Amino acid sequence: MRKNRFIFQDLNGSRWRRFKWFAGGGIFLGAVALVLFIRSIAVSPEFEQPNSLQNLKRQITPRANDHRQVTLSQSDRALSRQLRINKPSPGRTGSRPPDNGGIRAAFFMGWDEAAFRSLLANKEILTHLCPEWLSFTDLEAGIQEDIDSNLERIPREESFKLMPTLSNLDGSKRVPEAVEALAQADRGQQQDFVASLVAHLLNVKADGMVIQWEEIDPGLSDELTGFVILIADGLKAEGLDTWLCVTMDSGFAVYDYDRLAPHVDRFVAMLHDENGEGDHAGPLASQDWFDGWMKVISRSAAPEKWIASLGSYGCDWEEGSTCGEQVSFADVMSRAGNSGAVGLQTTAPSYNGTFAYHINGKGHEVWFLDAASFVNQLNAVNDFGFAGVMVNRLGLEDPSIWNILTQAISGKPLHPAALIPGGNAITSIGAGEIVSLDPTTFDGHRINSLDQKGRYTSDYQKLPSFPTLFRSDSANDAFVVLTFDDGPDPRWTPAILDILKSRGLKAVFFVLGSQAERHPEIVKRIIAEGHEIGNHSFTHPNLAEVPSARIQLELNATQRLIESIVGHSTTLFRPPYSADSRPANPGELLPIAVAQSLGYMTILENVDPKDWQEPPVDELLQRLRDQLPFGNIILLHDGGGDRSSTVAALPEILDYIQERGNTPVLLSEFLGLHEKKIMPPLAEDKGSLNVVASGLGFQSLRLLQDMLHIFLIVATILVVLRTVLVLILARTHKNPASIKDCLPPPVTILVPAYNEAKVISKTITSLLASDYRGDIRILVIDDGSTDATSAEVLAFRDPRVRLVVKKNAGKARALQLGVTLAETEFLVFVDADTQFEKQALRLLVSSCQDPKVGAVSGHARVGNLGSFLARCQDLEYICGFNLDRRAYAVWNCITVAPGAISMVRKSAIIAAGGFSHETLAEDTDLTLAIHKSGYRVEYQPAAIAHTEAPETVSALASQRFRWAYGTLQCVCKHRHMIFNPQFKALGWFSLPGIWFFQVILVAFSPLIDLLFLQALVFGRVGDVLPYFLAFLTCDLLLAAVAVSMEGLPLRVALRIVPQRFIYRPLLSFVIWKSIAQALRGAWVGWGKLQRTASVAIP
Amino acid sequence: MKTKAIIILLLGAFHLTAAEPSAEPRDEGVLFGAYCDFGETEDRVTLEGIYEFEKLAGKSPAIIASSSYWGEQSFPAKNLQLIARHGAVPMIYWSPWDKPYDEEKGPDRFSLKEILAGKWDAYIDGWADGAAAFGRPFFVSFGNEMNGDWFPWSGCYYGGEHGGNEIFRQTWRYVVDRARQRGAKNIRWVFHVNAYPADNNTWNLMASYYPGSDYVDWLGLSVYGKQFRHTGNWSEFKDMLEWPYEELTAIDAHKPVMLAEFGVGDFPKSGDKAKWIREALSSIPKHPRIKAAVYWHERWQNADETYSNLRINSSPSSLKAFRQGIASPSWIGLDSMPHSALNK
Repeated sequence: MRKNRFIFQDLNGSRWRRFKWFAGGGIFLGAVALVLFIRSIAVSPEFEQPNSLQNLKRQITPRANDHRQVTLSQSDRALSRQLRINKPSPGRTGSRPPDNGGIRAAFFMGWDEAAFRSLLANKEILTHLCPEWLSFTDLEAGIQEDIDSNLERIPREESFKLMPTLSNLDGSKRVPEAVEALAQADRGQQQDFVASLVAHLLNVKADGMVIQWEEIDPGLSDELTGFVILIADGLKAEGLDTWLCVTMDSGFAVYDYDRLAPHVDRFVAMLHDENGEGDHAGPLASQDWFDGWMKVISRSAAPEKWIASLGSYGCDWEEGSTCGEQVSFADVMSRAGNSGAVGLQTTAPSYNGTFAYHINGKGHEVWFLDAASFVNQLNAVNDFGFAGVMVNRLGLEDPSIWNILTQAISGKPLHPAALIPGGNAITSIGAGEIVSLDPTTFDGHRINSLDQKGRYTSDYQKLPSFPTLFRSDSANDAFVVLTFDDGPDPRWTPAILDILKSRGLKAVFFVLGSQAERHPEIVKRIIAEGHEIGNHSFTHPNLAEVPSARIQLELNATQRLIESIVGHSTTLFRPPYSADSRPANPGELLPIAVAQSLGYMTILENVDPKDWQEPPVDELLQRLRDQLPFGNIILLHDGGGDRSSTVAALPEILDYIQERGNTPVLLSEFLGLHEKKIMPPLAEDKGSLNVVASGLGFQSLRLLQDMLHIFLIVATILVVLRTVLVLILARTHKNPASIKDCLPPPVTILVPAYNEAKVISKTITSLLASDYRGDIRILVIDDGSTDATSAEVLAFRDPRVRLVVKKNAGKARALQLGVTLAETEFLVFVDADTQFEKQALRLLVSSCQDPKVGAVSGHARVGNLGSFLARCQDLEYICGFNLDRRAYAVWNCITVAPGAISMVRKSAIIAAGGFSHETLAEDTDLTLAIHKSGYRVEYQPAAIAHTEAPETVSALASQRFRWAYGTLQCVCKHRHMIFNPQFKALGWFSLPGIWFFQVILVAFSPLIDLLFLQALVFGRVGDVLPYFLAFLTCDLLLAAVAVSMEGLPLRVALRIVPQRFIYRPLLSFVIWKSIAQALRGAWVGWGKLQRTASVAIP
Repeated sequence: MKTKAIIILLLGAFHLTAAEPSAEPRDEGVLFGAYCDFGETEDRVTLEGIYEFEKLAGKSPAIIASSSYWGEQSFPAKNLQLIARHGAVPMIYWSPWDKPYDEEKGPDRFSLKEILAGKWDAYIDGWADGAAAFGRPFFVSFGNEMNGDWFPWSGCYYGGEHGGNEIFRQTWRYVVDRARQRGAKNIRWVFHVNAYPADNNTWNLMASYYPGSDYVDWLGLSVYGKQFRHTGNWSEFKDMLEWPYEELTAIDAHKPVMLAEFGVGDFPKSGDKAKWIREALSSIPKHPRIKAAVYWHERWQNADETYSNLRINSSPSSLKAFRQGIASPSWIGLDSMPHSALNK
């Protein structure tokens, strides 16, 4: 059988074969490119690490320590003065056994992660916890709280009591003036202070408070003593305890202990800092010094009033410095071990440990207190009958002290542990923010023995090892480095670059791969203007919480991107988030370890004015001023948020830095390295395939993204324009003039049917019920149905109903036969599943009286509203008919008078060349042909028919596929009409509209959804949201107007939202399937809808 | 048009002359100066120290004071540059003594005799070269408070009435001559005595130490109220100033006078520091010859463990008095001083 030709026909399938070859080749090439791209990211770039761990380790050497104490410390002088004072001891009230139920308190700093770890491990042993929370340094500002979030992190159900400290510290500086002024102020002012203090303490549910005021003038002893009594009494009235810290130096003379004893609950003797702030290197609490102060203390109030604060930490002095660095016991072990110190001992005469080392050419001397000194001191404290001890401080201590305290509880003899566990802490050596990690850990051990004086000594046989950060710094004190994280950003980075350029200053930009990928031109500019670039990961995840493979991928992708943009690698790395604190958790070390294994130097920071909080310029500047004396790597941000305050403050920041005498330099200059060591140029021979692959990959990604973005913008503009136009036109539409007076002409109603037994009788009944006064002839063309369609028709024993049965040959041929058989000028097309409302026929005919009108479209509605899917289609029909068709009618560019309900003049059909069999959408095809013949196509919204909508997704898909395929055929067949001035709005508006809105936009809508999803995942919703909202607003607006025109409640319009999510993928799928089918050149059959006969005329 | 152009020219000229911070006395007003408590040592200048003091005082000093000890054997170029960048005029107490810098221990290797013998010529020359290289005018108070008995360059350590003052005069001229020969013409030499002498005898009078008008640019005076809790009585500012002012101004009829140091401790039981400050700040500008005054803002601990707190914020009332007093337009601070062109 010879089939007629149809649009897209490809008899021997050569087009499809050609397409398959091209497509197959394209996919293969694409896949190879993708593999190469992924491989280029997975394979780590190679470069030499400029600051290797081995080099750093070689710079640390042991040094002889002469243990000679040249000068008396301030504390020693105070002790000798106190010992000279001849004062009788109040004496002990009988000797007591070693303490086994006394106070075991600990000082606690909330910012120290190690302190939290120690607290959680040892909370059972503690009776009191003393967090450094309150300070008083300004009379007008009053008491300052620095609790942050660490209150919640402290386990409160525990048995220990909470005794926050009240210091006179402002940052790291003691401020005595406020305390002294208040001590001399009038009673009322003092009472206000106490009330405020009580409120603060009750607010945090504290059990009391530890006063820790230092550097107060002993000349004000009377006033201060009176003031403390007032405080203690005020607290006692609220059930709160008062402890008073007493320093073992000139501060001892500040208080009158006899007067205070009845009021203050405990005195805390700070039995450490023999050599502290302002002293040269020396013992922290030598045994003689300790015993001397115990003697002084014992004649000042009863021993039960006293708690001994025992030091358990180390202090590291740079040679000649009077400002030692307080370090943990683990740090001490780590520094001793890494410097190769031998013969480390805690022994007579001081019973404090000490050693010395060299680092970067500078001598260091370390003194420390360990478990042996703790036992010796605790024994002395117990002998004197003190109320208990305080550990100074959590997180720094020799972990063995907890065993010693446990021994004390059970009344056993005290002895230090031999094993020194390694690993369970993070230690550091050296100063500076350029860090390398040595993750090696092992345990150490010491031999503890009692000497002739009955005191413990420790001989360190093997020093333990902890994960250790080796820190390096610039040799030049004046150098500082400006670093900008999280860029590049087109709003802020260029502004920052401009400022730097105008001053001829250089900075380091730690870029995010995701940002660099979007703004390669800024990355190029950064390099072109002589700055350095570092790797800040691709997507800014918290690297402490992701697996090492992800860290590697983040770093590699960013590195490859930088290489592809600027032709240099970078050896600089800064971890997101954790750069602003000292690594405190093992998790934070992983990124450093991974980066190091890839060859990076990790650059942390020590000046962080927290510009990301977007503080006012003055505040930002003040923070910088406060921190600059203590740091040289400055962290600012050029991306990741509103950086207007950073940009605004930058000139003043630079002014201040330079006024202070600091010079901002690149990291290469900072470290005295050649710039090629920091940003090595790509070797031409090495890994060039990877570099090219990653470069092309990133470029294609960028191109794709740019194209998508442009598409999005164009689509949005067109959608908005179309919406506005349709709304305006639809409102101007007037129903076609109906001529009531003339005689109604005879009408033939053509009902093509193929297996419509279930619904055909309903359709015919609705037609027969029409209020049309003229002659009606219903012609059912049975296109070779295999069911009872014909029988159903024949059951109407009505002369107006005729039946023609033919061999199955498709709807178009059935219609063509009907047209041939019809004897009237006016033909009405009805689908067999569609029921007319009473007035529909009359209105259609009356709209067609003008001889220039070749066709009139009726208004089809969904009749079966039982399912959600059908209701969605109902809304779609309402929009399509009420708005689009009205609008199109105004400009005479209706593209389809639907087969479901339309009226056509027979003469117009003949003029158009009859029904064509070339497309699946014979109604569209015919409508366009009628346009071509010069007829108008009208629309009559009041001629309503109810059709049956598919109720399952698969039925809908197959229906839409036929429509889509047919439409595609039609627009291809009539392509010469597009942009053809002869066809006016049809050529310039509605036909291109089909191409763009029904084919292209629908086909690419999943890509837009993907873009939106990506934006959602990477937190850049703001980029896509406006478009997304524009689309949705247009949809909602159109739906609302259409629904109100239909006289339905507005809420029906809301259905458009879920409809979008169900339709979009479905429509996109059928469009792609249609395109594939078109390429294949195959014919598509009727795509029969499974009739359910659920349409009822309301 | 013409007049407009002239005005612009005049304004420009004024701007140019005003751009340099000045160490010259002005017809009206007193230059506000301060030592800003830079911490442990007097020879360490920090910008944060200056800023902190300015925030307290509410006015930026036009003169920032610090020390240069001969024991360090260097010219404090960094300090001077920092102060100049800030826009102020440096004032240096150039003190010939050695570590440890403790008072009342007598002459050391930098004794005046050694200086006169030429032993430290190289150091003086190098220091003068540094001063010349600095280029801007600045104040130098060499061997301050020589009429006391606490510093090792005091006349009492060099024979007292038997020529102690003469050795000081000779040394002064020796040092100034060398410095001038090296081209350090930008130094303004401040002859800086203590208000009251340690030994109240003719040989120890201010005039006895005066090296001659050719060798001195400014006359300087230390005026302190009570400094130590357990020694000395409270004395009001005007009693501390009046007689020494008369004595000093009598030495030379024209030279401008500077209170090269002034300040008082905070001892509410002995006296009212706020009142002392109020009187000082209001009466100083009333003395026509006083063209500059340097407040000594420091807190230190004494041998008897008590503290001396001369800081302006030793108590809220003192701070308030200082802020109010210094706010007067007769005190010329940095804001009323032309700002340094170096900044821009």
